[in-house]
Amino acid sequence: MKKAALKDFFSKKSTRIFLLAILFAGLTVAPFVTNTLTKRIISTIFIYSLLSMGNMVIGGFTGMLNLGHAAFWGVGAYITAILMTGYNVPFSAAFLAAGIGTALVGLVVSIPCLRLSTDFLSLITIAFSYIFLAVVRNWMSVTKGPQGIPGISCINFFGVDFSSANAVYFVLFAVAVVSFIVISNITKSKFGLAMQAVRDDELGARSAGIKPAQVKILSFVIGTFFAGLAGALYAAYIGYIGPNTFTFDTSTTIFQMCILGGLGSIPGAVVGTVFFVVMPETIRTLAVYRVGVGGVIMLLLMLFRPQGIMGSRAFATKDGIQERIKNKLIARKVANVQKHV
Amino acid sequence: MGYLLEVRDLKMYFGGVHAVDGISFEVGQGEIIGIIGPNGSGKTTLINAVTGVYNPTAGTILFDGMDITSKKMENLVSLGICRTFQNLKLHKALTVLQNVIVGEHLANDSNFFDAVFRTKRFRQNEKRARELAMTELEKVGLAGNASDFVSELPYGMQKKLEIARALVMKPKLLILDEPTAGMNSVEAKEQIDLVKKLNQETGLSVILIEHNMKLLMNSVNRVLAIDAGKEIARGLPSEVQNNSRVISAYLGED
Ligand SMILES: Nc1ncnc2c1ncn2[C@@H]1O[C@H](COP(=O)(O)OP(=O)(O)O)[C@@H](O)[C@H]1O
Ligand SMILES: [Mg+2]
Repeated sequence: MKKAALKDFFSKKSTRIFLLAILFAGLTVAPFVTNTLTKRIISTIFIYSLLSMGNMVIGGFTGMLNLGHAAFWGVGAYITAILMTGYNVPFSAAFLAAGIGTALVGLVVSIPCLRLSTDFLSLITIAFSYIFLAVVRNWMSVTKGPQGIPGISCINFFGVDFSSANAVYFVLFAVAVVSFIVISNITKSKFGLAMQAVRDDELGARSAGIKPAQVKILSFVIGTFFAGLAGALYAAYIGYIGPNTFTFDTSTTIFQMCILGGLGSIPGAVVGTVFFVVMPETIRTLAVYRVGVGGVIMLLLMLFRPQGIMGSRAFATKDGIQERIKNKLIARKVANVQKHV
Repeated sequence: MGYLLEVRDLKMYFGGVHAVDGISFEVGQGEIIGIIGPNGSGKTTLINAVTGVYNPTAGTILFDGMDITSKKMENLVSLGICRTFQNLKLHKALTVLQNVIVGEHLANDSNFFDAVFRTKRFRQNEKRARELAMTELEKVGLAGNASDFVSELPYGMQKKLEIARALVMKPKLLILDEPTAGMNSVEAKEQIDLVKKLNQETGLSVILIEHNMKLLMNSVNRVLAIDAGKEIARGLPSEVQNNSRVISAYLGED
């Protein structure tokens, strides 16, 4: 069968390495042959990939509905901005501080999961989103409130300024690639397997000697660490940060990237990111319908490929997360139709 | 010589429900003990209290002479107590092989650094985990399904998979909660024979919870019969089978 042959072709290791090599080469020449807008879009994809991959660890692997990821991103961005503008800390130090500081905040936020169920944890992350925004908007002396922090100097590693669009592009590219490799390696190790074991059946995981609370905290620390790094890169890339970037809406979008790409797949997180960054840019002409078009695409996905683009087919089964959401959506649609007849 | 497992006057109350109400039993090295009783008699609760799913209301549990009464399930694995569940507790979005590898969590001594940098130790651990998992899958007859997803397996095979996940942890005591539930009589017999074979070949001690008394008769050393959270009979299978209290407990059920 043609379809099976195609599937074989794509699942072969040599094919995957070949495709990756093409992608890598394409991304390497891209800044020299494209315009500023395209460069900016790809750079944004690099930063958002750190966010979606981190959230994939928390949500897609350990199964915790983290709805505060943008706030963790904000923590990293504010740590960087405050250290750089207020204390003249060099970027590389601020970058590390943002990663570690955000991971510590992630640790604190995830501690309630020692006692509470996963559902409560998502409420806690929502609360955290709003607390973060409230603090940033009101703590004028440190965060400068709603007007944000301007004048953050550019990315600098080892005394080298990465200020031109091309230089920034390659720094972001490098960080994204290294993060992808590190996160992939973690998720393919016993730690990643333990996360998935906890996600699918906590009691079963415990019967294998896995401590669910430890696994949950670990995945939170990993996910928020990369959110912190993304915050540092973002702050220095844009040169200005304000509270309106790190909203609850952004957290939802990050989670949607993971769902679209396929829960439990790190490459999926990247694919979902590409879609959600590129989509609003390409259909900008239909600005009014932007949200609608995004929604329709999500709905189609749920109906035709419930596990997401790169997700394992095991997620498409009767009791998978996606199937449940899909059933809810269908039920709502049927209810709407009935209302209109 | 002490017993491998000694349970003394164990009680597990849920508010006013006395699910387990003062049960004592012991398991010797290399023994297979059967626990029988009608539905709702407290078999699963007894095992949950023994394996640290619940913290017992009262009583003591000794394993190899060590007090494990209030230890949690995840801390019993390294001592050598492993179990399966009546209602499957498998990882549905993982493959059959991965489910067994989950059981290698403690044996795999790669640390975080090894995982990130794919050190030699990491690669050795991964290879060994896969090989050991395949060995256990062969034992339970699931080697051919290694790359299937759990959700694609029929129920009986999922029951076998849980046994493989427990076996890969190299237990001293294996506790099986109704390993034949949902199986037809041929499959059920095969499953019990498998347990018997493991016991004979490796000297593994087993607690076998079974609702169907007849299945156990030729396979276990001793039987404990319970009803309404209390012991009603104990002894050789043939004795317990003919015990009048056991017969009436089972009669009352259907
Ligand atoms: N977590 C619990 N909370 C309250 N009652 C429970 C709980 N678990 C079991 N029970 C009760 O304890 C009794 C024994 O149940 P169980 O151990 O599952 O029996 P068996 O395994 O022999 O069929 C039942 O009456 C059941 O309703
Ligand atoms: Mg039971």
